[in-house]
Amino acid sequence: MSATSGTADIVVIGGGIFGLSLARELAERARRRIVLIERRHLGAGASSRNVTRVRAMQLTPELARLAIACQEKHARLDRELGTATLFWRPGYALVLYDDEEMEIMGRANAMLRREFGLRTELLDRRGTLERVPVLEGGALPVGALYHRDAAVHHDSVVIAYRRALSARGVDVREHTEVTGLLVAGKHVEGVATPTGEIRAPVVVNATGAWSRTISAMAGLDVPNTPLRREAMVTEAVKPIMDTMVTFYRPLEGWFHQTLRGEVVMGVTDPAETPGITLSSSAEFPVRTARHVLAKAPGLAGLHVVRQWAGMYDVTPDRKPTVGPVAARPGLVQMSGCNGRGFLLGPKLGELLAAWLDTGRQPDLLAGFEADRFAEGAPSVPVVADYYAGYRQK
Amino acid sequence: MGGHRDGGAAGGPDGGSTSPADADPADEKGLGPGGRRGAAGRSGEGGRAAAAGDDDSGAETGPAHAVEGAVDVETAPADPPLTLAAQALGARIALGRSFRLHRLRGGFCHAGWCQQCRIATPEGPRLACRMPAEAALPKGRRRRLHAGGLAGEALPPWFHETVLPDAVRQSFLEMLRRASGAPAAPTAIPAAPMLEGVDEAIAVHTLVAGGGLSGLAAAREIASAGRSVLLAEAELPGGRARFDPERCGTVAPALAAARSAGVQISTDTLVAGLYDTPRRALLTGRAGTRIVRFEELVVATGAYDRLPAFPGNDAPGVIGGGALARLAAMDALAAGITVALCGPASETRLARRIAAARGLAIVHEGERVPLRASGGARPGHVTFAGGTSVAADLLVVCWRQPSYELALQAGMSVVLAGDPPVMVAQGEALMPIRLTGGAALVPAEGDGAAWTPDPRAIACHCEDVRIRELDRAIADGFDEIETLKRRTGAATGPCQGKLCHAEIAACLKHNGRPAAVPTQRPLARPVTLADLARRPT
Repeated sequence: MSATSGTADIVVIGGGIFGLSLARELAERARRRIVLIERRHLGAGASSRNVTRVRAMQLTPELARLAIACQEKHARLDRELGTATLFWRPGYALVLYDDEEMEIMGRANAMLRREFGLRTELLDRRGTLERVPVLEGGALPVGALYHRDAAVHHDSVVIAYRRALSARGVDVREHTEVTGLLVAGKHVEGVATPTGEIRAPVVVNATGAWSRTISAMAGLDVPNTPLRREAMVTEAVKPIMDTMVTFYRPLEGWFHQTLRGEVVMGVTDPAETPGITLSSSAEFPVRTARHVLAKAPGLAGLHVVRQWAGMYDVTPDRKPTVGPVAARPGLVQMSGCNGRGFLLGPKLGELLAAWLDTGRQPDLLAGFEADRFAEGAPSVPVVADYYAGYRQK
Repeated sequence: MGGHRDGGAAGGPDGGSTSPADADPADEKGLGPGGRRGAAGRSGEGGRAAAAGDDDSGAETGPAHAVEGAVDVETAPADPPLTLAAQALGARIALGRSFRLHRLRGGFCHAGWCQQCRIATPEGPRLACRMPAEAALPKGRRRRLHAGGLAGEALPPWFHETVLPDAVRQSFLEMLRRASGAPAAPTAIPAAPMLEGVDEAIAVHTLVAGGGLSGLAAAREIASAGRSVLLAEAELPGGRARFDPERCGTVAPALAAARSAGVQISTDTLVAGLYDTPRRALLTGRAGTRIVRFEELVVATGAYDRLPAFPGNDAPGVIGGGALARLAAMDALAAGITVALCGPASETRLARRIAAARGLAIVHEGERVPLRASGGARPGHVTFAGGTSVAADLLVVCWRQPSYELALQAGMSVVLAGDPPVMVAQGEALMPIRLTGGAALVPAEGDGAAWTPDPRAIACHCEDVRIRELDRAIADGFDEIETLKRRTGAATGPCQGKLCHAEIAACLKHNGRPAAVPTQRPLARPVTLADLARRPT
């Protein structure tokens, strides 16, 4: 294969929802020569492995403000892209098992209603069992924080973007691996691939859990940590529940029924070690079955058909990193999904495209700057686990 | 580490066929394939001396702890009891409906893997071929025409991608979600198993998946060399030989030899998953869920009945050659029922012997895949190349697909071989692995290139995906296996591709793309959450 070189106005590395949405928004803004590079196929990473919850009910004001805008974007994405994304509102409950959790979530509920006008509800035990009848017979919940939150279908979203990019004539290169960044001095000036170099004044790192690897190609050490998360899914049955469920204690666990009727679930391994691996573990189905059945024994008779693993791209403060990198002019970060990438992707693409086009940082991106972990930047509070973060409020 | 394939055992063509043993074609249709036996029929449990916990064959050379839950059997198993699926086939009752098009479904394999005989029970969906005939048959008439099915046929395959106004979007999706042919959700609420964490893994040197003659022989050989061997058999020892009148007598000696060599045998135990970092196997079944550490793996899980794509191949009454043998062993085939046979002579030989022994009337026999079949809950009509059309109670298709899911979970890849093509595991694995017996079958001729099934045929039965939808998606640019799967939903249902992978791979090949199947992930077969949660006993 002979190496050829080319040029572009912008190169987006990563064909997941971050890269797809940015490429599409840039194309809408009449940016001419956009090249999107994906190592495998579009959506091959976390974008086809996530469980497509699109939750506005976040527990800190900063994330809630962004998440509400992101959910609104998802709600109109089908019209914008011309393909339905199966956006619907099954509802979402954070199910709580002790009084302390109720107290913390009670404060979150008040904050979300007061500051954002979200119609969240703090349910008592009876209200919780009415919303999530499959909890009947299991460990007794104390209550739940509920909101009529949404879900989409990840494959439909990726397919919708694929079509939109194709219609806009964006140069999408699947099965192309970025082997290096072209760096002159401190400036990033393009990418190297096995089929040649592409020179561009702007290169965007939208590679999710692989973002640290790409940053390292520019000599940057970013504190993003790849962390495996596993999931498994049952056969489809007729509707057994609407509400999507998450419980944080004692282990983070969750389940919900998809539009097709499968029940998806997972219980996090508290000892999961950082690192990229898409292999499943033998312990996961056992841990998940035990933990979920202790709370929702009505699911006992469903058959698990498949398990899989995906990657979180975790930042020290559990917030995304979006924007130019001051230390490497030409390089732009769009990473740090922290398990919320599918929610954030479409809106972040819109906001970052506006930033790159106009040079002005959109208000919604304040606090998510890519440089906040850089040397010399004021120190950022590190969130050891999600729960500790909510507790401070 | 490379995968190793045993050369001979059950791998080659069976050689010259015996006498055809054709019965005269029946001029009058029988009353159907058996199923007249009362609910209080032979339970089949009598001949089994399941001796849980008294396995005295401990492998001294292995890790100190004995393998928990090794369940042994004293003798070769007796005939299996009549199942609900067999009874339904005899009574010409279709069991369930397909997911998207609400097509009537019976069962194809009668062995627990094709997942097409699923019925709703209060405890959740269950396979009728795994349920005793004492269970109640689904009530109510099953009309061939169904509103949901008619709508499914009338609507284009990707109608749900149409953008709808916000005002109707939610209610449309709510309606869609209720309109599927999925079985009803469970209504029973069992006691919550208040279990947490995961039990510690047990260790063996060699894990043998599958206790047919090949698995027993491999296990015996390795145990004789002083290694600790755990053999996990999903049903009872003997595999295909259990249902073969000429070979069932060899099961007991093979079992005895394996046991005396020190093999620990765990029946009713499925190797549900293989994992490489770290190397583990997940075993589920009667002895609870166990995680096993092992040094090497022997895959002796046999071969499946292969269902080639042709219109009507999902009709109740279309069964595999292996299924016929199972149905005969459970005495579910009444003398005089009519049978159309197709498949290579080496594979139809057993079916012919069974037909002769059971007094079944073979009305057609051929090597080619039928052009089409129509069935429903009545005796079906089958059309073969050249215009031959026959009426038959059963259409028995005798091709075999080597079981491949464990090999792929272990990191091997597949190529197509044969015509109609099957998948053959090959290439490097992530762990030391050996394939033997039916799992190591390689068809002598063909590479799938000549296989061009009717576009109307359903390739993926779980999701009702037709060949023409696969063709269309490939033409639309979803032309590699992972995007094709996501575009069409093919291979994402309960059987996880066992019925359709070969057709999808062949379809890609036929369209000039590399033949491939999606990444194979655990579980090897569906397992209930209750079973996954169960402690080892």
